[in-house]
Amino acid sequence: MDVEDSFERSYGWVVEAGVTLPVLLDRDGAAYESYAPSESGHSTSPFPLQVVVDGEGVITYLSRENLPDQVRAAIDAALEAL
Amino acid sequence: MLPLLVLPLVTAGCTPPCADGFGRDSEGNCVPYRSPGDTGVDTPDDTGGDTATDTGTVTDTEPVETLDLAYGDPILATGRESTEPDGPIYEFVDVVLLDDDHAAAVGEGGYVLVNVADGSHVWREGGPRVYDAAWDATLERLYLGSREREVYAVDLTDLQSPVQAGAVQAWSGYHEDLAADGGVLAVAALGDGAVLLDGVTLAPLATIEVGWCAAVGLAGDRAIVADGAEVLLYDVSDPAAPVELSRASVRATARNIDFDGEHVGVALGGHGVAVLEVEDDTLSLAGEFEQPGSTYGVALDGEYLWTSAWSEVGLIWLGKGGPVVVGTEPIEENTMGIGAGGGRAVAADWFQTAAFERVDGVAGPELQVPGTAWVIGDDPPTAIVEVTNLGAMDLEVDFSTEDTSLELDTDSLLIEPGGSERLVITGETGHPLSSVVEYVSNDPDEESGQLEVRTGEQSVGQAHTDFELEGFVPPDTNLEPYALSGQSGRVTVLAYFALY
Repeated sequence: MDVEDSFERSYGWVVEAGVTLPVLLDRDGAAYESYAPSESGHSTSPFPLQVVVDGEGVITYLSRENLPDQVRAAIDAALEAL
Repeated sequence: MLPLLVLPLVTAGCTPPCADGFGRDSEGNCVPYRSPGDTGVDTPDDTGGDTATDTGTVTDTEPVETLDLAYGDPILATGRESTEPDGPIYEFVDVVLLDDDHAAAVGEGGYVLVNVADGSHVWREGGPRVYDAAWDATLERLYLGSREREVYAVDLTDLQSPVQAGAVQAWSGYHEDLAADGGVLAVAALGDGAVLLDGVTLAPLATIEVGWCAAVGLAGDRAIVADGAEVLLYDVSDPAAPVELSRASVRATARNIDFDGEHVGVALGGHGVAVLEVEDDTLSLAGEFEQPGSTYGVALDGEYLWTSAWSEVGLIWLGKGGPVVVGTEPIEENTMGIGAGGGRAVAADWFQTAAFERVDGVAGPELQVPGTAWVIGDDPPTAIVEVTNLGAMDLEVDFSTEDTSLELDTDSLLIEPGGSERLVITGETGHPLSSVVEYVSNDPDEESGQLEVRTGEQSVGQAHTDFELEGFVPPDTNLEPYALSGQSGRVTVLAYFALY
């Protein structure tokens, strides 16, 4: 989810970074702005913002910190519930 | 297999906060709080809000005894100027000081010559999309690192009559940080290491091969080179044959460096800032600090280090008892770069250049509190607000609300430097919250304010609202619409990032 960037700007970077997953352009930042800042109400940093949505469209994980183990656990739990 | 996984991360995340009653020490470890002068380790119960008494007023704070600092506001905002919304130069990302009175702020479409006293624009010069800049006072040359692969040199013997002095691309990939001093230019060329160039001819002199170099510093015959989260000191008295002298570790990848021969300021993105010292050609870590946001810029200024931390400018004192954060100052947009000297600083604040002046010898508590307290749960609706003291002195905050349906678990918090406490706001079951809590504090530049208390629409446990956005699957360039509802029955990961 590339926030407030154009396709031209996004494309060069993601290709160089070796990304092969879908890159969505949140050009006006509306999707990014739609979340509560965090569960504690405290956000010190604009990025990262990571969200896991389960098979029924419910948010099961939302964090503005880079916590790879917790994201992985949330993905595993959501996959198990499918 | 994951049906849909969207994107990597550009920016490293924040360091997780320590548990209640614990703060981070100079090495980033969670340790119990200690009172100034206390040699023992306190229990968490001895800290902060647990022992605060409600006086109903905010009391004066005594300076921390080990610091030669008096209570006060150390950063004054002295002016700013914005470029036109649709003008040719915008999105400032870095600043270098050229002399006592002038700075160059660089960004999309060129650079602006800035009056250091009030942040106003003296001269605007079109040019490439610039990401980083360096200034060599001995050559009177400004180096502009473009967002592509070139670095340009500009002769600024006459500040308002720039003369193009060449361009170079002496490495294979992208570059991130520049440093220049004494006729040598250093380029942080990421996977290509650190490249040293002749500042006049731009001919390559040497390449310091490291794994991932995103930051460099130069001071006389010494260079600082980042290798991921390692910081290396080199002897570059012969810039064609650099010799490693010492190295030290910081807690995250170095993103920007400033070096004056004695101190090294290191911006660590979402992990704040590190200060290192050089003594007898040996590098040592003097301290690491959280900042209000992601830190991408640092600038040494005598016994101080300025930081640009996305939503605020910060000031760290390096003198006796330091390093210690003496204060931060909010800015209007988002700042990534900063230049400083002689007690003044200019920050690259997106479409603006903002000027600041420091007040020597003073420090205060530094209140960090979100503007909005988002409600979690509905039985009863509850908002948990983390209140942090990023400053150098004890912080006292008193809360009040005129909304009689709200309950606050405390009306006063006392927070030691570097500590955090929580305010819990509870409403009535069955009523979504939309209210205000007011506060007063002894933070000299944030004596009062208010928290909006709101029930958020998008948080854990709630259905994600649908969206439809254009997207592509690299290296394919076709843009296709993607709707979240189209992923029904699959697990979806959304990873948000932005390029700057």
